[in-house]
Amino acid sequence: MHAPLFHFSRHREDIEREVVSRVAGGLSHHAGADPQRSYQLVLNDAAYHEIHRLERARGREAERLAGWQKLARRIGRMDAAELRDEVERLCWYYVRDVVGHFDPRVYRFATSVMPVGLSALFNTTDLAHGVGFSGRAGVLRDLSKRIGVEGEVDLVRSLARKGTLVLVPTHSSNLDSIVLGWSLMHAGLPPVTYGAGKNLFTNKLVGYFMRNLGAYRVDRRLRHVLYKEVLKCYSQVLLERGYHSLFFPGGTRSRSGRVEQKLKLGLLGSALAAFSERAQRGDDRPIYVVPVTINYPLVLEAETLIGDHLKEAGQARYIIDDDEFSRIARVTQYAVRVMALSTTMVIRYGQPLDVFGNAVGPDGTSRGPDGTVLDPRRYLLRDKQAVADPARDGEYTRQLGEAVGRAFLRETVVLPTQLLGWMLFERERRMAPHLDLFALLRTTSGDRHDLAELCADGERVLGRLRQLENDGRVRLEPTLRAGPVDEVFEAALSTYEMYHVRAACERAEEAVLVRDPKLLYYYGNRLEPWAPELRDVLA
Amino acid sequence: MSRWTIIDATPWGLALARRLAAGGHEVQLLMGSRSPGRLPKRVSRQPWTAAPQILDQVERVVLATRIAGLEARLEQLASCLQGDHRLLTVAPGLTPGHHFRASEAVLRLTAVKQLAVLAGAAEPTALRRKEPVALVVGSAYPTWATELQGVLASKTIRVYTSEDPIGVELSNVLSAVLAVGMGAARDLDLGPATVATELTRAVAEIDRLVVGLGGRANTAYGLAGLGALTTQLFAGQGDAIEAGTSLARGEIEAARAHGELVEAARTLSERAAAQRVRAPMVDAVNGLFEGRLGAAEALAALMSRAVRSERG
Repeated sequence: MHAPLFHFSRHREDIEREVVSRVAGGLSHHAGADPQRSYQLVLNDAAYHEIHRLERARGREAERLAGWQKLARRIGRMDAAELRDEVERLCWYYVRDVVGHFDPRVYRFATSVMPVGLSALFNTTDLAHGVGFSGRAGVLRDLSKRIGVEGEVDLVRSLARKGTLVLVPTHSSNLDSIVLGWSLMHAGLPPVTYGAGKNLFTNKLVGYFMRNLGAYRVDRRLRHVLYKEVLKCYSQVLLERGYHSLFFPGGTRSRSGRVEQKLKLGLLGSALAAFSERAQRGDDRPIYVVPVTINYPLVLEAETLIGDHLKEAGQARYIIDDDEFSRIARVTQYAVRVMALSTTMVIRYGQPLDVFGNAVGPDGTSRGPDGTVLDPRRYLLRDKQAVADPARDGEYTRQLGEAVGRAFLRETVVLPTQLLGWMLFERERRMAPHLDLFALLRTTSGDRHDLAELCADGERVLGRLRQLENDGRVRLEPTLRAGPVDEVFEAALSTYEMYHVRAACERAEEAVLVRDPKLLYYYGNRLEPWAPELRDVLA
Repeated sequence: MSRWTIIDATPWGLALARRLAAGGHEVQLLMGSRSPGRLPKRVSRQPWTAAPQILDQVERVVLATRIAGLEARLEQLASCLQGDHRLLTVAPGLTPGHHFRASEAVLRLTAVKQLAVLAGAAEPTALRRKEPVALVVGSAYPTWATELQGVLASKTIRVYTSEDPIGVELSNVLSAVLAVGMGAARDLDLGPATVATELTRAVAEIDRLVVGLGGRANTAYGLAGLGALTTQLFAGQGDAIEAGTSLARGEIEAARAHGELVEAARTLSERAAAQRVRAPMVDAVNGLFEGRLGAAEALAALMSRAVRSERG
């Protein structure tokens, strides 16, 4: 496959130059027509935010404080040319910090080693669990048995040849980009470039692979306009040049376990901006937005994420750098145990959309709700001429965000752990309707739920979920789709026991014992969008 | 001057065709065979068969179809509507099929995104009589809203813009439903203080429902909510007032002849319950239509509710 990313290093400098030129040019109008005033504002904003941040920083970071303080004192005395030079210098600095790399040799190495490495881990687990060898085929079981890749994969593969892909997955774990990268390779899809938090590069080995497999660095601590413009422009230029990309539109990992519905429109907007820019240059290649759901039976960082969600100071920990992902032993333990699960992780590729949120047909054309073939360039016209209208485009992007949010719900694959989590937590709520969420979380550990009663309720909820799947409103994992409810719960219970320090719940003879209500709440939250309808059948 | 297509020769369609023509715009009126009466020079009448060619040339479209036939009309025209079309809808209410608001039906059934909705304290007849009136154009597309404001405004029509099309549409349909209650109360021969109480609580309820169902706070206090409600109240006539009067007299079948209001009351009552938004007045109107409550009984039930903060 000759994806554009394979030729990235050849164009890298050119891309950097274009980003610097466009950002510096664009910022000259940041505060109206006067470039001097605009640059002053941009530099003051950057200096203010950086000084504020660095005053609290330690080590080598803190050494940069003096430089920013000096710049802050000079801004008022700089003439227009000096201001522009300073803005350009900072743009160069930031773009070089951001820009990723792609080394085909590393890609070939990683793609050959990753499945073997993960399968080897699985093999070890087989031994530990006494599964044993069953002939040669059993020695290295296929990783694809543990990670299901489904949905519109064939269509996405064909669209990758016709235009540029923007994958927009749900985000639950720092492992997302790794498993998604594996799914692309497994499905014969091209590699993608994506922005990853700078904190993920701190591990030198992981950082080396990420950097050489197309990831670029996003420093979420930097809040000033200049940096944000560099990032936005870089991702847009990559798309304009045809690099398949990946954005997590939720912005950060879902803390609550819910499927994201509040999406970051800035990132989605760069797809429309790139399409518009291409159209103005007469470049007709389409851009396709592909919603993807990543569905884990167990989430590596579940304990930290739900803990953070429940803290009032959740926002303060927007960047978590001390979670399970930062502890290599925990990641290994997770990988080993997930590989041994009887239930699979599912990566589901949804119906591709154009940048205006319209569905895309099998031939790559945009389609209206009635199947009419649309020319997406017409959304940019006024009186038959392409016209720039940022307010219009902002609303288009908001509508695209809604379409992606709806796709996330439609393409969510409900797994046994999530169903059992929701059922148990719902029973707790019904048993103590006077308790608020926090009281429930504090007091329900140790509660026992009769398994027969749970199965009777589960049968009804499962029936409604199957109806919802028939209506195309959600997806079910095969056990939920066809299996008896006791098997579903059995699968959930054995999965829960596999990884977390304290299992969310466990079997106790003919009952289920609640062990960690927070985890039940976290996994059950995945079903919250459909909860009113599920509660109806329990009433 | 620009070119416009108006879909359907309803009272709103004709009123807007005249207004646009008076402003010097060229208007093509897509309609059936029924005579629309005398049309201004710049308005040309066109058959449905011409829709594909006309809509391929004209970007500005007024969808004047009544709410009852809106889904069918959109299904008929969906293949002619593309991304550069900008639509203005004028139909209040919810469609009988899927209970969509007019703009919601356009978004669900066609590829059009640039939408605006027209509502306010005026009926098409008031535009024709050239009485001083005000309308509101709700749109999330400021350029389109401003253009509409420019072409529809005149010496007797003030046109305001709102960035909350959902709120404008919901306020409009809720004002019609609650005007039924006002009509019922009117027939009970209550004093002005009671009517004023009902009016202010109705607007507070519209506001609450608009926010609960996806619109913005305070839109209800504008032309589409308070304006439309008082227009109906002062006019003392119209579908909603007539339905309310019938309900107060126990003539439920006569009231239920206003099927769009019956459906709107039921649907909005259900949506409010699903979103856990308090909607006692909409529920009461729904109860009256369903024959579960009498007018005096409904009023007594409303008065016996627990009191809260005025804006709560």
